[in-house]
Amino acid sequence: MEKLKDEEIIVLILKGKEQLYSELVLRYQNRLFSTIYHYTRDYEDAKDLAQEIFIKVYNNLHKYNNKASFSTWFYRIAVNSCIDWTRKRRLVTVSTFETDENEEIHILEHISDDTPSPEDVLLKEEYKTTIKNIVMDLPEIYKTVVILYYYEDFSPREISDILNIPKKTIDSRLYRARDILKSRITNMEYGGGAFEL
Amino acid sequence: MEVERLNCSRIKNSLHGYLAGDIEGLEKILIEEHIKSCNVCKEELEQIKDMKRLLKGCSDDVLAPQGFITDIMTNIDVKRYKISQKNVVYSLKSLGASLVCAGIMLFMLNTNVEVLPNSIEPMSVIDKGVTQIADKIMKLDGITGRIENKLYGGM
Repeated sequence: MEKLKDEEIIVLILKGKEQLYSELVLRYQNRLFSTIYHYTRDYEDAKDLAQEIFIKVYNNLHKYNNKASFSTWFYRIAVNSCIDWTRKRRLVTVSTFETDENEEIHILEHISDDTPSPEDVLLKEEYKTTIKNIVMDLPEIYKTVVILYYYEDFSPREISDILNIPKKTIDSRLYRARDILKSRITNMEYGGGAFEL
Repeated sequence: MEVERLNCSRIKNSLHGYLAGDIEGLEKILIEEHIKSCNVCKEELEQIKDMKRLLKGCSDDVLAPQGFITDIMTNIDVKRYKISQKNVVYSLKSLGASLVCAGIMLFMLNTNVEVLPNSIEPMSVIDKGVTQIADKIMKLDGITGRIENKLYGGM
């Protein structure tokens, strides 16, 4: 049987075949989860928010008017929900910029030979957490474009459609966000360059 | 030199889109040609790629939990978009009733013209009514006059 397009599934759901919504959930659940997790940084919160978004989408299917693709419309609801969630929670992440810089350098000195010791693995994990926190610390307008472009592989044009913001604005936000990230990662003083993973 | 700088400035803003496959056709060819000959823009493109590798490498692979679809389907209102048989019948009944009412109204409009007997002129009926109203006003004037006499002692 030929796979139905998202828009075709919606037409059928609105005619009473609500069970087909499970197909839409199947198609979008993992990618949505990944996007949400970048905002919540907590699995249970991501699960709750994902459920909330899918129910919101279902309840508003009758408002979908085919002007944009379903994917764009879906992510518009999802990203707005994530931003609202962040504002309500007013997440305060512990920024590594406040940590002792000497401590950071001291940790790096322990990474010596090629074989990763358990300590090295732990340090790498800490570094990853640091990078994630740097992204989380970005102002919201930059954080959103970073998540959608760098993590979720949306193009600037798709991001423009999702956020309903001109593409030129998205391009300059991506440019500016990258400058900020570069500056903050470099300021961690890991020898002046990006750490190779 | 000024033209080259302008091109670099314009191209730098397009590099994210170029890398993501947004740019097509002539614009894509022009960007590729420019990058081949411009170390600055080439370096910018590499930095975007490096940043993508770095951030992706630091991210967690998170998947939806088992049973997530079942949870969603359990929590949605399955009747929301159901077209119920009762609603269809009710709609048909309402339509039928509306049509009958419309028919009755049309019938009455068509037959109303002949309600007045032909021997009675419409204008004489109106004149008679106006005369009756005028008489009543005259009587009312008399009543108010008597009330004023009582209140102000005939002044």
